[in-house]
Amino acid sequence: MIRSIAGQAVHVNEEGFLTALDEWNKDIAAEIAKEEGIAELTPAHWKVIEWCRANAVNGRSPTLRQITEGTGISTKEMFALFPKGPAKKVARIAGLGKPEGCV
Amino acid sequence: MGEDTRKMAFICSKGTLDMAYPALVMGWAALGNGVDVTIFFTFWGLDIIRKSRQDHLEIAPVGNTSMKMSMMGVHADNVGIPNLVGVLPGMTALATKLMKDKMRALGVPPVSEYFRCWWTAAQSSTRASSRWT
Repeated sequence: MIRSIAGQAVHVNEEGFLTALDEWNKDIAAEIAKEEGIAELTPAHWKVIEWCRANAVNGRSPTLRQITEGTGISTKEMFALFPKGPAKKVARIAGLGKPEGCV
Repeated sequence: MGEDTRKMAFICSKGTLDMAYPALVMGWAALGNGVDVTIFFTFWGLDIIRKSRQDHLEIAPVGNTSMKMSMMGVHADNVGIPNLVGVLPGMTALATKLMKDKMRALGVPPVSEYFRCWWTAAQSSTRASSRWT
């Protein structure tokens, strides 16, 4: 389905995840973050988001463990930055699919 | 905590290596996806939370019909590890080592590391909890 985020029409799936990688931009990320209860994206948030976009496989976000190992951001910080479900929230904000693995 | 929050509970009542991971792997993935996760440890499952035991959990090939010769590097599709072989000294240690090697190759953390992740997550949110009975 198509919905409008930050004044742009984008394709999303039934859970509200963007389905086209190239439709994502930083304004869209900020708006999705607000929907997820994150008022403002700080440089730490962006570091995670950009790392995930750079390391996505088949449009799917890396797993939580891959993120903490790849960025050096601790598990604790991840839960503080993206409270209540960091893996899912990062994926949605970064315009990626949910991570494929469980680890 | 919203009313629509999904909740999940695991009961760990066994203390073997292969029975420790299902709750840890699935629970951790669920936690990352915003699910409230509770793990109960009881009976032999208490070994999973005992510091002296949690990194020394083992898997025995004896009586385990899911363990196949192919896991030992022998190409024999469906042929199981004979129980008579499984009773040989060192077979449990070997099977345990093979499982740990496999998990390391897949990037699955050891049990104690899972708990470190678990507690740090629990400190910054209320969504993870575990109980022992």
